[in-house]
Amino acid sequence: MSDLQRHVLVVDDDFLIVMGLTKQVEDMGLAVCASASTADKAIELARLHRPMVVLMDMRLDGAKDGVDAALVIHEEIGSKVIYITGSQDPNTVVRINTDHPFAILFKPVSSQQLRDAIGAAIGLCVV
Amino acid sequence: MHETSTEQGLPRAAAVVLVAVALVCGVLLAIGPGDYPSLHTILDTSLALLLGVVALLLWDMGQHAGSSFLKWLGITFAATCVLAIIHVLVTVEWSGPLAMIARLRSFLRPATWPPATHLLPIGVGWALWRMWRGVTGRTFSYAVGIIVLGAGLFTAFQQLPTYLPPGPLGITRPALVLAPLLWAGVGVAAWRLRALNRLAQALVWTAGTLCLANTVMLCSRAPADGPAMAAHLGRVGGFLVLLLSAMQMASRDLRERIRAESALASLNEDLDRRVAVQTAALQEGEAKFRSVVENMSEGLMIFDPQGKVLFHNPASARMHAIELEEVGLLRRDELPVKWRVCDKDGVRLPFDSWPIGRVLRGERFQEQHLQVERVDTGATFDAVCNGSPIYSAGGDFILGFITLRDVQDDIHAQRELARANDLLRGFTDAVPGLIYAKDRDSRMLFANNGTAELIGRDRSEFIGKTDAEFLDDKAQGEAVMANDRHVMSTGVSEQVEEHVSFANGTAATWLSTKAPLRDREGRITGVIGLSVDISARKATEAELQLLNDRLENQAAELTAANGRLNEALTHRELLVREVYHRVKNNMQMVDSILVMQEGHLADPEAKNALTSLRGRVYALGLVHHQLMGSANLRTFDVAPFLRELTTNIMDGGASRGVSVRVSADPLDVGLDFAIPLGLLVTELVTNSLKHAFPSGEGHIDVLLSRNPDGSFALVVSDNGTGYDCDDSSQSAGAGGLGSKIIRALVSQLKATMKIQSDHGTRAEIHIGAPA
Repeated sequence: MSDLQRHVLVVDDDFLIVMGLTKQVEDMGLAVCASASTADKAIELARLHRPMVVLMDMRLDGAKDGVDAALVIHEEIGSKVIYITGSQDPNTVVRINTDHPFAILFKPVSSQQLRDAIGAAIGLCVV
Repeated sequence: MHETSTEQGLPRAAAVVLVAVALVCGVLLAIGPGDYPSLHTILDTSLALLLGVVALLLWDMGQHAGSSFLKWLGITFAATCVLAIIHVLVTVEWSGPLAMIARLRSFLRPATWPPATHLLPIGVGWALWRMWRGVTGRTFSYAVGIIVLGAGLFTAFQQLPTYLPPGPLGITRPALVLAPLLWAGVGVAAWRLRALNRLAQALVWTAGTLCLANTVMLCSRAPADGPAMAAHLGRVGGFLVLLLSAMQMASRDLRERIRAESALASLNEDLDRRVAVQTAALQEGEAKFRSVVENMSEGLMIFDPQGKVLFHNPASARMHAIELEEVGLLRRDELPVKWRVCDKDGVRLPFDSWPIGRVLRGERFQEQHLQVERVDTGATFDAVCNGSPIYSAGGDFILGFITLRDVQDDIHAQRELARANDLLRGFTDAVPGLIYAKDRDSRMLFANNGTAELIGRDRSEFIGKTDAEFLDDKAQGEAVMANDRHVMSTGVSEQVEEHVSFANGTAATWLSTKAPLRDREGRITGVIGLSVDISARKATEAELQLLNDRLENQAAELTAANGRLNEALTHRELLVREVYHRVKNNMQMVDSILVMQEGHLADPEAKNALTSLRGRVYALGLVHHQLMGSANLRTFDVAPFLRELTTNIMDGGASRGVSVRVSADPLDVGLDFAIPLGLLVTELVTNSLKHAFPSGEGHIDVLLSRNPDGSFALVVSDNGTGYDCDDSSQSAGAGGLGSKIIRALVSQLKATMKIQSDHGTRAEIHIGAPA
């Protein structure tokens, strides 16, 4: 765990949302190491940056979705994955829960919700 | 038999006697006249004795043989014997006290023998004549006749001369010429009548001999000269011939009697044996007969030609309800009970037409039905009777008998059977449909009216026939019989549908219940069946089936349509979710833009405005979030929504010391109501947070309550500072964006708002029932 960086990896196929999330993370005083719009890219970047927290959108570009990426990342790197999704589709929720998510936030996510979730994840990591 | 034939002729001893007498006579005659007084006495005595013996013998034979002829001869000989004895007595030279007899000689001349000589042939001839005339008995009259004749002859010869000088042919005693002639006549008669009596044969010889002897006597000149002796000897020979013949006959009779007696004894013995055997057989036969008769179920009465009942067997006694001892010897018209007899049809029969009377008239009858009633008790019985007379070999009526069979039970059983049959027929005919029974070969045994109507013929035309025979459609008949055979082979009853057209050709379907017909031992002897016309039901079933098929088709179509609808619905839901998803995503994008914009602003006022904006965007997003999570994608419960909304506002606010409480009645709300409501709450709570708590401490209440009339009241109140206000429009932040939004939303909700500011602010909004 200790080798994880105090970074946040933002994964979303919508660039505006990536920018908004990044702004809010940075407002918390944390660094966003990278952002990705596909699962493969997210895995690649996670391996590269080894972030403590990954903000993971469910729906991504490409064939794979957020869970595909999160499973690998959680397994290989051990990052805390916070899902940010617009869908409350029961199937989606079940699928997310197969990957021991740290938190699930539903869009639109208020700043406070995001701050609490990330803070909790980092705190857990640091401690 | 050869014995009998030889004895028909002269006995050998007699022949010898005759030959000897002839020789002696020849010698005496050859010597010439002589004097033989001693011989004369001897011969006269012998003759007398001989006559007595012959007389006794003949009488005895006559007595034994029951022959009058012999008895008559015996009488004649006896009479002659008396005369001969007189002759002897007067001839003897008596002396002493018997000299008196000698003195009689002067009275009774020495020629006392001729009466005897004549009496004998006359008596024998008379006896022959009587025999020839067929006279029997009358012995006494004969004896009287002989005595009278003897006395007459004796008297006559007292007067006739004795010896005369020789006349023609040297005859010295012409008075005696009749004697040889009489004997000749007797000989001829005996010869002619020899077939009538066995002794007649011997008499022929005797008569011949005596004829010769008396002829010689005619030439005698003295009582004891040669010719007289020859004559005497001839007489002795003639009597001996008769005596020997008679003795031979007697001995022969004795032999025959002994033989006959022994034969009789053996016959008797045989007869006894046969009688014993037959008696045993009869006893056995009778025992069997009695056993049969006493044990037979039929009554038997036997009666004599007078109608007297000789015998009742137990069955008959039982039927007549009489004690066996009571009858037996009683005449039928003396029976202790009176009877009333009717024929089969109940017509009273007269006494003479009763079975006994008919048999007595010689009638034979069989199987006559009678109803018999006992008058005194009224007990009745029904009987079938047979009767017949029994005749002897000679054709005489000896016995009559009647047998009676009690058919009371038969008749009752028949009536019961008939009643049961009527009942069965009544039931079966009343039942709609067919009821029938068939034998193992499917021949009809029983059928009700329904069956007859189906077949269209009279019962008699199809009873005993098979379906294949009486049904017009042979194929239908064969099919029915195949079903029958199946039931009989399995022994299990079953229901089958059969197709048998009515007599008028109308096709019909029958539901037939067929069951095996079993006898008492459980063997299957046929099949019984009940068939119901289900043509109408079948038609209805077919229609129902058609309707059902149609319904099923329609249901299938509906299901398909429903499937399509569901599919469309699912598709729509997916689309709606996608829309909500995209809306939310877009909200997130707007929020991102606002976040980034925020970062470029330095003016706190502007920043606040953006923050408010973000709150409003969040409220919109939250509405969609709730919708997306609801089951129907259209409505959701308002309470959790309000709670999340206010919590988020509080989290976003800087004042950590302010608490909020949300209470809401359960209420499903749609997008059109939730968005203005959510924005209204957002504005009001945000307002309170901004203005009411300068100290950073306080409490906010959000209350949504439902009124009984369906309207709602939304109350947002705080315990903050409140604000001075003259009118509600100002107090809501006149000129501020928030106030404008609040007014616009209240208006949109067609609600009224009342704001009070007294120890805090209280905004109370009345909303009509959501459309």
